[in-house]
Amino acid sequence: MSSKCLIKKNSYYDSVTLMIITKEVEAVAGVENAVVVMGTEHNKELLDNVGLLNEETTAASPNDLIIAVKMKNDNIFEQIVQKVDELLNKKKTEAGEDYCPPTLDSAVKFMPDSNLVIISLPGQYAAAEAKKALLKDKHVLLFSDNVSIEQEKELKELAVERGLLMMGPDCGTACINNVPLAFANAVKSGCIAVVGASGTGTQEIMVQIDKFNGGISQAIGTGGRDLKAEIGGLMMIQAIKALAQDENTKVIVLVSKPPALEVAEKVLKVLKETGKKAVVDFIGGDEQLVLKYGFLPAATLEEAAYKAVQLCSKTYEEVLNSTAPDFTDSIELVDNMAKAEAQKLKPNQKYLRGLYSGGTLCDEALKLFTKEIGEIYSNIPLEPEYKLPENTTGYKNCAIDLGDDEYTVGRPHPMIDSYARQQMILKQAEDQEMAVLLMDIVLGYGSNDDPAGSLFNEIKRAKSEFEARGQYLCVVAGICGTENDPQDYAEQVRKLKEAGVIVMSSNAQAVRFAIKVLKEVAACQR
Amino acid sequence: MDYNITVEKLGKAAYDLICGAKEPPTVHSVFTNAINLKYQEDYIITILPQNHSCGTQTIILSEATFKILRSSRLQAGESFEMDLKEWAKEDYVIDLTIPDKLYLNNELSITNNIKCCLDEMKCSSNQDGLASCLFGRENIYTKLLSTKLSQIDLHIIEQDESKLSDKLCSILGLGPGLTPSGDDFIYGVLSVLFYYNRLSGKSSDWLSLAAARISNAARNLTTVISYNMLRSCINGEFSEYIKNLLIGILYGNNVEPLLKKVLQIGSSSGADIAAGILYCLKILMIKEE
Repeated sequence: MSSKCLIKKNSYYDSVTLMIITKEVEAVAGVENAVVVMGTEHNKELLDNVGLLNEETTAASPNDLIIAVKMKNDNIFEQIVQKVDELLNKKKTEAGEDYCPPTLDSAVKFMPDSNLVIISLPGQYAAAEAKKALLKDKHVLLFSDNVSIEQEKELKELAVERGLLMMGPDCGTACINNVPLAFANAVKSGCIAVVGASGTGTQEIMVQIDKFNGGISQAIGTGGRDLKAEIGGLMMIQAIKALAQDENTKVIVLVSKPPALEVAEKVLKVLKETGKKAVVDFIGGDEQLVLKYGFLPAATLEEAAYKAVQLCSKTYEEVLNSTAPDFTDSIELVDNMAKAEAQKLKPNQKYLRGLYSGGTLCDEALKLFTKEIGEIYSNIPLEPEYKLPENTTGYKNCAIDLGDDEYTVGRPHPMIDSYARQQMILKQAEDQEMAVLLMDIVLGYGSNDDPAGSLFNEIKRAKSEFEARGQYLCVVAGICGTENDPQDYAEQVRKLKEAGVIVMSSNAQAVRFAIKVLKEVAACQR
Repeated sequence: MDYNITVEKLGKAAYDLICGAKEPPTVHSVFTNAINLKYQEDYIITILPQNHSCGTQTIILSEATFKILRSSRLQAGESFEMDLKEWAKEDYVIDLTIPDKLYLNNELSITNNIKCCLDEMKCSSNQDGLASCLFGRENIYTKLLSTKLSQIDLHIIEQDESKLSDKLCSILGLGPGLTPSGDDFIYGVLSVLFYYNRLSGKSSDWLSLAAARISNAARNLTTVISYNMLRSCINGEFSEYIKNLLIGILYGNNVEPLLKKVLQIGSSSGADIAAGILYCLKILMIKEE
């Protein structure tokens, strides 16, 4: 039998905390006796009586906390110290702020009724924690990336086996029972569910649904690789099955990059079995396949949202041939604006430069641009030959996903920290051939508190540089956000306009406007 | 900080301290349900939300106001900048003194009330501290208690302030809790003696002397928060739940809800105070017999 003690100098914890510590320490295997008392003279006498008085406890003052333990073997003392710190930390933070449990186990203990765990850890640790959470029968949102595809498959198979959702890895957006998780916007609740293998794609659809006066029942992220052949859409299928049971969900929207054919067929088959109406946006994917299963395809994220809202009150037949208007404003107004912008550009200005914080928004821009104009380079190109040459920040027409790994090493995502985009705007401004600078401004929970404000100075500086050269820079931004988002939508728009930015209410509209300007420029040159 | 403060109740000592303060207090400690402010060297005022007992050195705020105050993330040692004088309106000061126009129950009723309390405590009180002494259950603290308090009944009966205070001082700071069990027990014992003596028309001077001796000794023998709790005994003022329970036992008949309120204080503090009350009342009833 050995005894050890821990002294917390001048430490005041309420009696409930001290009682909990006593019970928890006594519950550790191998502990014979635990005495948690203030270091008063009479308590020292008591410790002496039970053989727990030593030099340290003798030196304690009445305002010091003594945790004295008699145990079978003192190698468990470290575990006890850790336990005590955990408990004291918990109570300390409860008193002044939200409790931040240091481990998954303590989090689950703190909130045993929880049913979902969000994990954001370096990739090498993330999978193990996700597995632990699944084994505790908790749904998982795995924000982390750098989890191998083999690990992803193992986790998702485990989740399916236990009837759980395994959102991610690399899942940045979800909204479960109207609770936004990670990056998400404040949208109205309603009857439309979104299942997305794309974070900003899901956000843009949710936002546009809100703008078309629809509402969201659930938004479930699957992680970007879910529809690859290796994973086989395990989580998209699991999510669809869950939504089949959700009485609040009347319409389902799927959004993903084009999946492997066999995976797409599997997913669509399960979707069919739900008996619910659906819109499918396999961004740039096979529309005929979607139609074959009786669902509505969508060419853009905005159109997916539009059709989903329409489907809430109409039949497939009624919605099939309807499309979202190209612009919120009248086409005449937009044409005039585009012409006015184009006229300010000089003949040598002919290229589009897209600087995106959202990967799917960038991808949508590439697709719309390719369809209307042609080749466009990117760090996430549609075809390998349009890969942005190395060590270049801009090349001909290009759109860059600044959220891609190469730009986020050692720094936060550009939706949170605008530094990378600020630098990139200034770099691009050196290129006299740039005509249009295209951007996304993503609002919502988790995003930068003031994205427009954080880019304001750089946009102004870029415009000034063009002016100094006798040129003009057209800047276009699509806002992904709602009026209820914490950043104040109207104020964001005001700041952008003050910086001279043409503001559009969706990414698709922003891209279309940029295309219009470039077409005008080309027409003028002809 | 610009908050709309709603003070529900205020103890007399707290009121006097705030109004007479030359310097603002500092934050002593912040707990989930209590914020302790330190005045001068060692005066503590405890700010509590509703549903907590108001003592002479406490301020009771509405639940919402307390939450706002706590969310301001006060840290120990910080100076407390809010305008406490603005809060401390005389209208909120509650009377914690012992009433003198009540007629004691007969002994049988008091004994029945004690029995009722004991039954309730047996089932629902925290007995990790000294409370288990009432039921003959032993723990490391009660083992010491019986030897320390031997013959205390005689000192109470003889009204020997010197011997009584020596006996009670021997359990100062003893036991678990931020206000150690021994101190809570003493608080309970003194509350009974003050009430019983004053209401029986007997002199309480000897008791005030005993309380002053205990309070002085407490300065070095227990925690500063506990010392402040005992300091309020000198004037024969106890927190409202204690007052209500004592009035209930000595004059009333429905004591169970009153005891439950006392048991809610702290983790084991309420049970230890109640233990002191019942322990002392039993001695007094035996004496009366």
